[in-house]
Amino acid sequence: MNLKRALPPLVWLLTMGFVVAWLSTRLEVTHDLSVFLPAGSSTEEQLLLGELRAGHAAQLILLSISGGDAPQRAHASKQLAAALRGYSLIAEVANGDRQTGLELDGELLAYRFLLSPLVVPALFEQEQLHQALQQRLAELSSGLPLLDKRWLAHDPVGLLPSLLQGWQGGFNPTQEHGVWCDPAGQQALLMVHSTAAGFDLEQQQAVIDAIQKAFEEVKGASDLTLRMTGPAVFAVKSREIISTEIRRLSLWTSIAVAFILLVAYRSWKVALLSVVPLATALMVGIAVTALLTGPIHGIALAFGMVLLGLTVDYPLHLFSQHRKGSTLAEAAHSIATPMAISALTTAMAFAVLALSDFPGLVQLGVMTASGLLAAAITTLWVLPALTGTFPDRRVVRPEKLARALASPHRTAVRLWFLAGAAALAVGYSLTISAPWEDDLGALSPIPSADRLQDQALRQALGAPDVRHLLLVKGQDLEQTLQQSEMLIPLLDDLVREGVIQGFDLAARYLPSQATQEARRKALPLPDELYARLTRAGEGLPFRTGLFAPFIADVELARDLPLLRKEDLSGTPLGLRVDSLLRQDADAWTALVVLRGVYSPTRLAETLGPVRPAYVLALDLKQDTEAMVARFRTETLANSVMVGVAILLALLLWLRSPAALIRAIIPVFAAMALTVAALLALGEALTLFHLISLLLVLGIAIDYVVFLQSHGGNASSLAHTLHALLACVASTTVVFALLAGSPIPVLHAIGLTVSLGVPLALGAALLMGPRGGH
Amino acid sequence: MAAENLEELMAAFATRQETAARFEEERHLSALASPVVLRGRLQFRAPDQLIKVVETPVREDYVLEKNTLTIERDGKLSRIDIDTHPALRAIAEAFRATLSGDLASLRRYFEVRFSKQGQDAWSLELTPLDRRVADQVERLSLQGRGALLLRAVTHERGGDQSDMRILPP
Repeated sequence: MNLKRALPPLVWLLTMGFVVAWLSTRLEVTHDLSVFLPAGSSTEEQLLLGELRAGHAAQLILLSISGGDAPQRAHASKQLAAALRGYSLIAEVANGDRQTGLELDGELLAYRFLLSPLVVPALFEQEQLHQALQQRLAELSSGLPLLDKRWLAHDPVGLLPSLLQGWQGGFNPTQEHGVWCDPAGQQALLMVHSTAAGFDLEQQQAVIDAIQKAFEEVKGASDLTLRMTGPAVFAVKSREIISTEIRRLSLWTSIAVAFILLVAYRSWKVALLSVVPLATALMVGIAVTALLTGPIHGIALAFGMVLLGLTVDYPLHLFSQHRKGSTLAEAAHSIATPMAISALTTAMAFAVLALSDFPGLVQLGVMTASGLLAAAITTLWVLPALTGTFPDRRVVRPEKLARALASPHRTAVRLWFLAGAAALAVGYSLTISAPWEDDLGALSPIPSADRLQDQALRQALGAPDVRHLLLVKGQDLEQTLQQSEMLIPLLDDLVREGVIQGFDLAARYLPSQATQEARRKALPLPDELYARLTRAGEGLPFRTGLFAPFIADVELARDLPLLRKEDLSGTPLGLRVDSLLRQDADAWTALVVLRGVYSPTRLAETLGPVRPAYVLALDLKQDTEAMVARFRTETLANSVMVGVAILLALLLWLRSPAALIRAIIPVFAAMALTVAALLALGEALTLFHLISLLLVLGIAIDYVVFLQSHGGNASSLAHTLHALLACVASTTVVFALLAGSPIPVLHAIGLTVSLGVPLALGAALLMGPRGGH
Repeated sequence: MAAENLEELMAAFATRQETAARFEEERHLSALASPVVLRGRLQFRAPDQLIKVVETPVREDYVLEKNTLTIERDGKLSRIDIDTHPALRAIAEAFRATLSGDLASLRRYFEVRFSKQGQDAWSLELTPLDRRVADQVERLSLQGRGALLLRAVTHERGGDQSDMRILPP
């Protein structure tokens, strides 16, 4: 073995050794879903993305316990809640067994005078006090005995119950046996608010596992079942579904490709050698991506591997150009130019992704583009050096087809025929009003039944709406709270008009300092209060001096320092406030969480005109859709730019505008026909169809280029055709398997490519500019 | 027929499917200088429907079925799950379990003491078992004759007391 032959495998081995060693110590795979969200440019978009990433709603997990009988379910609900309340990643567990979990006790109790919206000067006027006392008397003489009379002497004006009721948002889910249940009484319901960031799937998984584990212990031998829903559960479940699906698909596609290779070349050696460029592409692609963009997202990794399956084509071209009695190096030399052109143009097509706003798609673009180039180099340079003698056993080549296609006449007719078909396809596509699907939800692998159940639970529990949200921006906490308070009357109106069921905001638990100050000023002096209370109690049977504790409490509250956010830290109230406030570098944002948005249009109408400038109304669904649509438009614009670059590369190679036009007509015909076929099948086009079309573009150029350079006469055409048929068969089978996947994204990629690839070959064959380059 | 022991008394109640009566309830509360008096109707239908209609001082309807208490006051309906109020639940069970002769249920909530009071009169002393209930209700004392409940006195912790006399309709 001479040095010249030994060099490529040595370099390859060293490179791969280095790459594998580097990857094995450095490769970091993340599952932070936010890399699939664009970076966002406007303030509103940034807030929206912040919400989607960290998300108040994303931290909420809804649980339902079914099976067994009602007392069993109630018991399990209480035990599960008790077990989870101690867990570090869980802020709050609500199941109805206590009123809100939010209590004013200990030192905080005195603050009821500063926290309650009832506290205005008029509250302590004789007339209002009299009404309050009558109210208390009515309670004492109601048919249900008032057993808890602890607060009577301390709180005759009823601040405490109204405060607690307000904190509950006036919403009470149906209860049975002391815990929340669905309206039909068939499931016990719980709500878990985790402190795990919405996008942190590892933490979310930990919370979900903890819930599951606690339930297993509670459940014992009973036949109770637990179901969990909510954005976090869906994210974790998606990851699980995608990874098992990818594993399943990679097994089947490997088997299918191996089978096709064996049929085409009838040699194990060829089949094994074909895998070398693919393996190289994967390793190099992953390494380059990790080097350039940091930790790789699991989903980008999985899709990158699917797309790089294309590189199996490269060795097929090489082997098919091998002639009896010549070396593989000679075959490599003869395909070097077309392979370089096709690898470069396909890599450029994927570079569109690298230009995108979505970090996850950038990774996908970098990984596929670098992988493709590595595979091409490996095929041309390493493979010929790896094997000297090449088996050429009874390979059946499509000689007849080649002869038929090689006949020189009627080329022009075929060209026009093809151009006509493409024009028809474009025309057809235009008649269908662009059915772009920009709803990210439609791309979710979560079955719609699960999403419906989530909605049902959300309604039964009055859990925050995952779509609608108001944000209040302020320079500091005080300003933010004051501005939030101004919204409260407006929101109360919306509740009264039945537009929304309820709302929640931090100012309800932590009023602004100004508001607290005003309430403190409204508190009367003890002597004054005593005198008014005495007059208010005339004619009522309350014992003299009964309300002395109330007078003492008011006196105490007059000297109370105002409640600050720090005073609440570590209490359930503090957790609630923290979850509703965000502090950025130089600003505060208060979230106004809406529950049960019955009429989104009326919400928008009502808020539209009166909404002050510091309030942002977000519709997470509509706004993400707008963002995805914007990204899609950008991708299309980038595609045009990259398309021009591809044309220039082809022109450099072909050196004739006429030849270029003849080369690109079949490529665009294939694309137009693919889009028309997708539309005819009733597909709603998504971002992922668009990305797959890039792959079809790359493949179509491949086919044209190879036919152009190796289709000159019937014999060489037969060799090229053999390779192309093997390529088409393997690619189509692999992507047809993906098309059958229940995961919408995989289905979109699979269907587009498995339709596009045969169309690309057909178009390339019909076109006819071949040979003679 | 005179009940000699608790089992016999319960068996006697178990034969009655429906009872209707009037009541007069006098509440002695430490907060008030004079007692509060409520009057109205009671109705029980086996196994678990208990209705209390207050006629004075203010009209109120209470309908307890299974665990759900429906309240109508000022023409407004509200519904509560009595399991969320352990003391309320226990008091409701004292009436409901006794009237339906369900000793097992009664014993789930109370320690039960039966005593014969001459001829066919009897009394039941009910002491709550659950600590949360005992924090509010010290004991209930029921008195009656034959399969009739005639008086129910609730002794609350802290001295408040409600004395309900049950009269024929």
